[in-house]
Amino acid sequence: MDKFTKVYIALIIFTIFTFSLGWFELISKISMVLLLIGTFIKGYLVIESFMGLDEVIGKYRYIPSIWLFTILILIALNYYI
Amino acid sequence: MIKQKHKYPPGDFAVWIIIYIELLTFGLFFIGYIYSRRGDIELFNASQLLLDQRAGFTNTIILITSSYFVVKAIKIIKTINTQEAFNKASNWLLGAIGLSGIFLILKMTEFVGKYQEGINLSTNSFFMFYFLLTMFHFMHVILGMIILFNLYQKTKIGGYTKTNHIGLESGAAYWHMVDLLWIVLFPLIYIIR
Repeated sequence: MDKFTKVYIALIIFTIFTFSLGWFELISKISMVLLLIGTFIKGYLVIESFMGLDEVIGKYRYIPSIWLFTILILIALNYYI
Repeated sequence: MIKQKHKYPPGDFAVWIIIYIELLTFGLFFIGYIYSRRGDIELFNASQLLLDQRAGFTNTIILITSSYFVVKAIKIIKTINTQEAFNKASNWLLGAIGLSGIFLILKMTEFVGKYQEGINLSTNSFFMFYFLLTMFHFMHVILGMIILFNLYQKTKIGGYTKTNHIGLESGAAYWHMVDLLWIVLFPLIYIIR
């Protein structure tokens, strides 16, 4: 199994996890923090692996990841603090 | 063997400038949504329950799978350059185009369903953001689909090779960005409360 297939499977698993939390009403602070961490991992996998930024050095590699991290931190701060 | 790293992202750098600007634009929309929600949390939570989470989930799977198909096409072009390989790669791209079409149909069905329920942009702040964000993303999917179709046509005739695939990588980067935006949109609009 190649790297991209492993990433794809991980993305599907995280998506099922996200959906399950909403569908089964497992809404709590802890589950939502886990969901945001899961969303970060998903986005990071797409950025690094699918977009090919894992083969890049310097600032251009990190801009999308910093964007993703900032958005998710703002969501966490606004929703739960 | 240590893989050599590059100074610039794959594809044309101009596409990456567009991607950074798009991320910034959507980021501002997301921040707008987050702060508006703060003003009326109960309304946002109640309105969110009117959305079909299964549709959001299905669309996420569709976009992730189409991104994976595009990655598979690039991988083939970067390793083998025979007519058989071009056909295989273009078939992966055709699969990605098909999936993006399904995404659009599902999203359209969702929009029509909401309008039939009497819900529109002016119903409340939540639905204003819901329509604004998802329609804006919808337009990006349409553009991505057009780009993928062009990539498909050029790949089929052997227009991209091991040494010349910048156009393919540029289009792919744009499509992955569309996927990345939905990865944030799905939990934000459909799940988190």
